[in-house]
Amino acid sequence: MNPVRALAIGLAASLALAAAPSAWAHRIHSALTEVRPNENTGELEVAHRVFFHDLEVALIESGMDDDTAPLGEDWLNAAGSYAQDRFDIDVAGASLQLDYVGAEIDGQFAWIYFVAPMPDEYDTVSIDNRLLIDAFPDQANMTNVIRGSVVRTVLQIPGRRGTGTIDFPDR
Amino acid sequence: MRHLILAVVAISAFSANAEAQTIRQTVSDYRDAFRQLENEDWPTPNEIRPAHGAPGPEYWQQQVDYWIDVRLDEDEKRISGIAEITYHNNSPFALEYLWFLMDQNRFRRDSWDNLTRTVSSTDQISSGAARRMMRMQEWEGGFDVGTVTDSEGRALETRLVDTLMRIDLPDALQPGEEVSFTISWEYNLPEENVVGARAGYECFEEETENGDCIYLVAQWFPRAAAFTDYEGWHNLPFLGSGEFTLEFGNYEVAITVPADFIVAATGELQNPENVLTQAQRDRLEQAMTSEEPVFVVTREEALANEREGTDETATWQFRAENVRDFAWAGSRKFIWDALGVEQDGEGEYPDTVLAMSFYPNENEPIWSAYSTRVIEHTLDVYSSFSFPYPYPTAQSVSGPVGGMEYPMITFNGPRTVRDEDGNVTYSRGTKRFLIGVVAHEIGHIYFPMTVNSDERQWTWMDEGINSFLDFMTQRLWEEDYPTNEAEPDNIIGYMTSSNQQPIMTQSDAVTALGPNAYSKPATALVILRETILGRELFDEAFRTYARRWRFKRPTPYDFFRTMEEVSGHDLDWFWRGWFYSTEHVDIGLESIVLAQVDTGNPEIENALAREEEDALPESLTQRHNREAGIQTYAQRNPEVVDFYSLNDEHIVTNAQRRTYERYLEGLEDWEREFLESGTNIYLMTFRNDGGVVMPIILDLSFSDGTTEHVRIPAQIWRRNAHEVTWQYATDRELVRLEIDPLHEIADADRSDNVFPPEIRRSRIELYRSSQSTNMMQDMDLTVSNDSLDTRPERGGDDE
Ligand SMILES: [Zn+2]
Repeated sequence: MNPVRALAIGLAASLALAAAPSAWAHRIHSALTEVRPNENTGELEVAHRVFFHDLEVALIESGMDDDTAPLGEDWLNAAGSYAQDRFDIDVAGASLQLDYVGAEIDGQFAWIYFVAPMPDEYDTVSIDNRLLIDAFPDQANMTNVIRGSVVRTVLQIPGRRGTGTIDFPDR
Repeated sequence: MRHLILAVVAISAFSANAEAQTIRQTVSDYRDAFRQLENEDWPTPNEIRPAHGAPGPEYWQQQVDYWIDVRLDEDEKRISGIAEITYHNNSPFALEYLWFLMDQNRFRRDSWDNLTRTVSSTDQISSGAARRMMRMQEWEGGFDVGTVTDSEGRALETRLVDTLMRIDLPDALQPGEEVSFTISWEYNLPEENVVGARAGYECFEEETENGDCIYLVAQWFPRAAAFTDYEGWHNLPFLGSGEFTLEFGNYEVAITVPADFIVAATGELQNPENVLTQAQRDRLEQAMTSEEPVFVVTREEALANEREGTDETATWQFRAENVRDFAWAGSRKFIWDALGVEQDGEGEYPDTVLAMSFYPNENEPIWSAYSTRVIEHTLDVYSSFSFPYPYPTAQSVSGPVGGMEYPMITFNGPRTVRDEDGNVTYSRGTKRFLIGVVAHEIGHIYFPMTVNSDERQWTWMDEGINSFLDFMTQRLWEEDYPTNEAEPDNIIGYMTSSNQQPIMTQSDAVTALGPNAYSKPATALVILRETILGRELFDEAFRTYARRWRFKRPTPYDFFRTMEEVSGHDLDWFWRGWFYSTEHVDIGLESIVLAQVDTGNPEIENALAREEEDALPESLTQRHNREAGIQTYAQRNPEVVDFYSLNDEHIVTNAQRRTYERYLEGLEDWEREFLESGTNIYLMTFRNDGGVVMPIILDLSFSDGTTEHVRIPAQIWRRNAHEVTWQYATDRELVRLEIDPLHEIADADRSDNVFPPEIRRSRIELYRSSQSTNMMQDMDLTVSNDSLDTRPERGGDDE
């Protein structure tokens, strides 16, 4: 039998309040990310859709001035680096470097965009989507990885964090 | 039987897959998307819940009345209460025991909720989780039950199962009878932001604020568990997520708090002369007829009140009739505004409802600007969809809870923020959050506080319906208000995801409650209203559901059945696709073929045939021969040229003319007219790639510049749910077709929706091309707590 192992566990810096499962929170603390190849541009596109107000809270908690105007240069930079730091994608075992394209607001949602050159292989994709979980412990993130007409989904939800991997069926 | 013959000309074929040549018998892939749901997914109708969806002649529900005396110990942050509870057994069954919900037990260290918390990462812990863990080591919540005695003072046996308590009755409670008993209890209020609760306290300790607190008190007394015709006693434990299943009853509640507190509660205040000043009572009176919110406690009065404190107590007495729960809030920090909202109570409900908001100075200026007005607007919109607001008060209370609903009272979170320099600001997001959350939580007073659906079983019945209506409410707040959660395009991501669950999944088992129980059902109802039924039929059916089931307990089947029978639409296919399946919507255009009627007239048809033949390229060999100057035999020997050489096979013969005349004589007049019309018949083949059957909605454009909007009912898929061919007759030439042009059915892949195909650009491509034009200016503005007026940030002598 293994002895109990001493484990250094990091304290994730955050001002997050304990999960307050109010009737409202379930609704808003959820995000959708789409990962899809674009044959026109030869890029792999990553588009995050989050609730705008959730993003605003998270950006301010992570150090952005609370009077930063949405879509201004400071805000765009903050949104980009926030999402850059909290979304990892591995394709066929190799970590993919994403380039920030920009962000926009559409109604209740904010969209944050990244691209990478299309990798040669696109059969196995691993995703660690940590968007907003430092701000909201009950945050539920859904990442749809799309190849052709096939969609595979990775979920990062309370009780199920960490990297998720999907395999596309043989063509 | 004669047939008119179609001459078929293909003008487009997208993908005509050659079938494999080997004969392979397979089972039919026929799928009956329109099969009735009765007897498989729906319970058998009975005299309680009949097949037409209204409460039946045998419908019953329990009633539980409460008389409660409760006290807040501010120093100890502890609640103590004693209640006399009267349980009316309206069921046809004798009850040997009664189950009660003891929801505060969730904060016991040994609660199922506390013991079953899982860790999401083995190498880091969030600071929130760490803080909760530490708090739970030094603090413990949960009910300390004192005595439980019957009306003669004899102790009753009880048994605790986590958040449920069974009270054993000495004699079974017979149908139609009632029993009263007394119970006393105490518990420690949780600190909302530390342990995560649906209620609790929040203290203000920052430099610019004093240490006063706001107390939001809910799930604070033993509430009767529901006993129903379809489930018996409801025994699901409270794990913090699934909400409540409760009984209606009447409440008399006396709340004792420090004398300088302002208290808001479910119901109407019974003793204003004891707890309010004359000025406050006058202002409340004035608010009843005012056009705009009136301060009952002004900002200045609240700030002055904060700094005093007292050892005295005061008792606020409230009475609430026919409510399924009771919650309250208290603080000496509260600013209080009120507005009488007029409505037609239809003789049953109040003609003036008192809309009120309670909030600390820290929330200003947005709360006094918006909270009560949003209540007014919400009552207006929700009542137009359902029934007059059935209670005398509708309240929005600020506190640490992001958003939570109770009868007549809601707790809402949004605040202004104060930066390091003391500047007060609120973001666009905070304003929208406030408007959205107040509309949503006030809306819950209709669903499920009045239409008493079972939240723990079917979250969508209150959250989905309520999200649908708060979407309507926000859409009507101001033009182009940025609410789009229930717009069909925005649910596509969830509906195409690979591990979702049907909406009809039981609440606690749902992995992503946001899209599953809020957005998807709200979107489904938007589609049902705008696309499937139309507003008139939908609104009438929905209003009938709301009115049939107000102050009663509907199940999903009662909703489905009512919507069908009032609208005159059998919607089993819609419920199956949207509520019972995880399929999505994706209709694609497979091909368009232009067909024209064969007139049989050799003068026309032969010429057409020649035209067709002439349209083909010349034989390359013949062309090269001619270009090389090579002559044919006939050119060199003209004597071999005869009638056939000079006339091709398309020449009209007398025999053909005679045949045509006989053909015409045999036709009816209308047939002759049709033959001569030259109608174009477009044969359009559509694929259902997503699975959910939906109407096919088309925009057709013609070469003469005209357009046509066509809406084909979903029933087109009844014989073949995978692929259908539909015909459209016109004398015009079709130049463009688009499926779902208004983006109203959540079609997941639009790349095959357009003829001729158009290149579609991704969101990111579109963003890149528009990027330079939608950058907003940083306006650098700030506000203060007493006004919505903005001013330049850090501009001189602001507070
Ligand atoms: Zn809700």
